[in-house]
Amino acid sequence: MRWRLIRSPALSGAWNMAIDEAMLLAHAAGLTPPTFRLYSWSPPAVSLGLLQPADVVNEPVCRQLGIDLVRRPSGGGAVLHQHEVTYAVVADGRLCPDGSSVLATYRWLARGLMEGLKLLGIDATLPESLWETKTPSRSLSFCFVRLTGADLEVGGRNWAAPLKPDAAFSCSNTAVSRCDWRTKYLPAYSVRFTLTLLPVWNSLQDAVSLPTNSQRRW
Amino acid sequence: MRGFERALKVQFHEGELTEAELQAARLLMEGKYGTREWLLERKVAPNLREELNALFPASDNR
Repeated sequence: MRWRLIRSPALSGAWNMAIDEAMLLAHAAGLTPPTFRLYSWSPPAVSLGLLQPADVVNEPVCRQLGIDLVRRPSGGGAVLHQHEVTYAVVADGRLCPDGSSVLATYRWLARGLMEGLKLLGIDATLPESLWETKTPSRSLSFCFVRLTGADLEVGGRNWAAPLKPDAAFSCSNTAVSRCDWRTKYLPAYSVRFTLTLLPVWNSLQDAVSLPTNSQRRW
Repeated sequence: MRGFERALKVQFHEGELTEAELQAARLLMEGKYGTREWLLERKVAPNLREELNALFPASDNR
């Protein structure tokens, strides 16, 4: 099956969310094929989950640091988007061979990411059980401290978590799921993880050849 | 990309956003994601839904 691949340059959080939703609406209306969009964020941004209160982040400090704030159309915890490549998938949920439930779709997409990581020499795994969750009691506001049955794990760390789709996105047999591939940038172990993964991120950039802003409109 | 193509059994073909998608993104930027109302209260511009429906008549589940 042919899928459209869109490589976007770095955009603000608000533009990235707007484009993702626009892609979904177009696909649900039958105007576009299944689409895989690669993008990054500039300036860095914290994205809040759909239902999170905005005060889980300190907005004045974010502003001081040049970090944007945006609310996603999907649920989950807050994520700092920096040094990462994000992908958005818009496709008919019936394409997923294991069923079109949210978790089955996550795991299907995660398998693609797992294969890609293998090509970079990283042995990532999916939890055995679809419903396995490992949630520490602290920092629940941050998306990546939680590990669900559809998150990839490298050395016991949740490394690439599909963001939870908004229920409104599962319309007309269309499912959207987004998965962010990013360095771990959480207060407890930010520097070490960032340094550890930086070479991988550079390889990833080379691998996907993201365009510069001057090369593409989006 | 090769990982996804292999695991999902799909073939990627380079493409661009359509004009309708770009227009919808602009509407969503102005009436939703670029606003304080969406960030703080999850409120969208009152006419956004109608404008999007006009762009994508078949999609009414938003």
